[in-house]
Amino acid sequence: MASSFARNREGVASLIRALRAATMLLVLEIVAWVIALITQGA
Amino acid sequence: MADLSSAYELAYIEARRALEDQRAVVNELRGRAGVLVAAAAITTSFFGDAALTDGRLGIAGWAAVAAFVLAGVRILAILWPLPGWTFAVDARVYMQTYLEHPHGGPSSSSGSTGTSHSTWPPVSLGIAKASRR
Repeated sequence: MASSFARNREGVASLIRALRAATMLLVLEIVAWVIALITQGA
Repeated sequence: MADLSSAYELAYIEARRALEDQRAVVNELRGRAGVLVAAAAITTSFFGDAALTDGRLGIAGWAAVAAFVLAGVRILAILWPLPGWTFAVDARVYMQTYLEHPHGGPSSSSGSTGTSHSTWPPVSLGIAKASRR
């Protein structure tokens, strides 16, 4: 039971890291699109 | 003995609860990943349509497309059904590890009445009582 918990905890930490990275990439994408639109309009 | 049994029972219940909490966290993270997929798709379709009016993407546009692809890869890694998650207790392994005597079956050390197990098992849960009948 303890080994299952420890293994799951590593997996949860990995999921959290991946979700954080994906969120950062989404923010970066939005910023990039806004810059693209601004430069296109200019 | 009764205090020790109740302490082990409490530890077992808390361990089960921790596993159930982990299952809830994984489900929540995967739900958030689904929301991120939807947000990325809507963002790309909305801004992409506006940015591609003249049919050309600048550096910032390509950077946005690259960020979208990378975010998709990361989200796919979250949503992919990887093996290895264990949220349940294997009853056979649990009994072999915690309940049965290491040098024989559960009945070999308890005698014919099944009541003289003062040193083993360390846990006196309902499942242990049932296995000795």
